[in-house]
Amino acid sequence: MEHMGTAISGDNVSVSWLNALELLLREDRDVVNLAVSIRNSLEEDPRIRAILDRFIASRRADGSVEPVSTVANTIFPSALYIPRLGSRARSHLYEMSEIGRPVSRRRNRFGTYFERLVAWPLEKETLNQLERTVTRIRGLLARGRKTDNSLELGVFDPRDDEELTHAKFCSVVGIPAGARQPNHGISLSQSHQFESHGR
Amino acid sequence: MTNNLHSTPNVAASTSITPDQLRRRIAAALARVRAMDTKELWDEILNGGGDCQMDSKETEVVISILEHEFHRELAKVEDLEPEQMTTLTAVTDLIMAQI
Repeated sequence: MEHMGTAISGDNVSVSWLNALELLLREDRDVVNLAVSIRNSLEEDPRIRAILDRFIASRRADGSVEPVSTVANTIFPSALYIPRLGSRARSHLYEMSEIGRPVSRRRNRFGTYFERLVAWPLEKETLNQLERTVTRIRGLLARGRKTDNSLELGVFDPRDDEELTHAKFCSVVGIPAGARQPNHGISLSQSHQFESHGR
Repeated sequence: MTNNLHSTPNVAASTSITPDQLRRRIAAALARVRAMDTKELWDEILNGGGDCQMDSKETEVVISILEHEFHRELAKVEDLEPEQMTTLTAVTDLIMAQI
């Protein structure tokens, strides 16, 4: 086996993305289990974003690529989160995303990552993983804990995703409570390498 | 969590609605999405030259609210490209074509 995974990091979203992209270009193939760590996950470099937006705009005609804002919205629809609502901000986010879901589903037949974070389908109801994790983090911080091994939110659903054999999935979003900065995030993009061990 | 679409007035489907009336209904729905007073948002729109930017996720919620009010689908998948949903005027034109 060549290796089990690759870790990339950067100071903000843009630099981390750029470092990952450069790695993929160097490798010129799929990278197995790429983990990207972003030290300041709420920061973006507008110069990198502007270049990327121009590049994507020039290729939007055939619909093969989506704008950065659209991709970001599938992970977290920030326009629906209104911090000035204080303690009601999360419930407002969940309510608005639920109302918009029937329309969103027309473009995203299998739902978005965010839908799976807040409305993971169970047999008769849905599970809000995000709310459960936020509550758990608050409980840990209140008890002075800075690490935990259960702060993961799953987005891979084998009932739907097995049909998408060409797609790459980010199957876990980890939130390390012990990170020095509260907005530190990790995403793991899993790709699998198969080996033969003889016949 | 309750998906309370009924907090905005339910109106009968009508083909006689004017673009300005529709624009105001969209603004009312957008105010709900932004958790702000409708008059406050409308004043912002007027002060901004009569239009305002909308995020594509805001637009999805607004369309969903209006579909409930008008009892019909107001946007097909081909209408939902992100570039088509970025302003109040664009969304008004999109929905006006459906009612």
